Amino acid sequence: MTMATVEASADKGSVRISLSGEIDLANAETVEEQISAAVSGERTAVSVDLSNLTYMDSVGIRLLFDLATDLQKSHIVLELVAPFETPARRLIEFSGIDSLVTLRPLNN
Amino acid sequence: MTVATVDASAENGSVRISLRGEIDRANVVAVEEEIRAAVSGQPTGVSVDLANVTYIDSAGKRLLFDLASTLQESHIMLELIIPFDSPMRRLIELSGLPTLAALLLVRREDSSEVAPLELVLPAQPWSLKTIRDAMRRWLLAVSAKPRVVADLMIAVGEACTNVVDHAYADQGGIVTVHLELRLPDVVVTIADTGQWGLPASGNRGRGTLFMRNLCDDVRIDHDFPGTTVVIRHHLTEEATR
Repeated sequence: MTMATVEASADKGSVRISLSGEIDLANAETVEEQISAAVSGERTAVSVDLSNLTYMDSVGIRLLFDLATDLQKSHIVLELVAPFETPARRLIEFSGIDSLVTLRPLNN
Repeated sequence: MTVATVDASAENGSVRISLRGEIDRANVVAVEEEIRAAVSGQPTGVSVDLANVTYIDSAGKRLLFDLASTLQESHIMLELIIPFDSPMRRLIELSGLPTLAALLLVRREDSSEVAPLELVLPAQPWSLKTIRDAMRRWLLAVSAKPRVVADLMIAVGEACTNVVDHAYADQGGIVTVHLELRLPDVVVTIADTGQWGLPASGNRGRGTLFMRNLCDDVRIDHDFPGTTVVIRHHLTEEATR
C-alpha cells in the first residue's frame, strides 16, 4: 500500500508541511485531506517540503497545483522546497507550476 | 497421496512462500494451514512462488483466491511468481486471479542473462506500488542508473495510472507491464484491454507530457480493444530530449 507522512507545524500563521514517503493515485486523496487540514484557518504563508518524498508523479503535481491555486485566492504564494535533480524538482519544472509558486532547493 | 511442500522465509517484513509438488482436494487443507501460519505475523508483503508446482486443481486455485482476498483486507497484494513457460500461467490467468493478485512472470533461474519481467495486475490504485517495487528490483538487477530508475518509475507510473483511472470505467480489468532489455535500451510495454483516449490537456495531458520528457521514446497505440504504451529509455544515460 502506498504510504506518505504529512507533518505540519505552524508558527503565527506560517505553516510548514513536510511530506515523506510516496504519493500516487492510491493515497493522493488522503494526503490532500491532511494538507487541507493543516492549512485551514488563519495562515499567512505556506511551505511544502518535498525533499523526503521517494515517489511522486502527475497526481502529486495536480495536488500541489490545486493547493497553489487555492492559496492564491488568499493572496498567498505557495513555497515548495525541492532539491535540484530530484524527481519532484524535475516534475515541477516540466509542469510549469514553478510560475505559480516560490521554488527553493533547500529548507531553511 | 498428493504431496506438496510449503517453504516460507521472511525478509524485511515480507514473506516469501515457495510451493512444490501437487495441490488438490486431498491436501489443500494442510497446505492452506501451513500458508496461513506463514503469513500470520502481519507481514508487509506476501509472495507465493509457484515455479515448482506441477499440478493445481480448482481447490488449490480457491486457496489462492481466499489468500488474496484475506490479504487485500490488510491492504496487501498477493504476488504470485510463475515462470513464463509454466503451464500454470494460463491456468492462473484464466482463473480470474489477476483481478485480485499480482502475477510476476519470470524466466527460470538457470538462464544466465537477466530475463524479461512481466507483471499482470488488477487495474486498481493499490497495484501501483506493487508495480513500482517489482520494477525497482528488476531495474537494479539490470544495473540501471539511479536516475534512469527514477525516470522509468514515473513514466511507467503515469501510463499505469491512466489505465487504472480511465481504461475500464467501473467494471475493472487488468494491466500488464512487460520489461525487457534491448541494449542499450530498457523497453517497457504497458497494455490494457479497456479504452482511454489520448488526452490533449488537463492532468492526463500532464502525465503524458512527463512520460515524453523523462524517456527517449513513448509510443501510444490504440488497438481494439485496449491501449498499448511502449516506453524506451537508455539503460545508463539520461533521456535525450
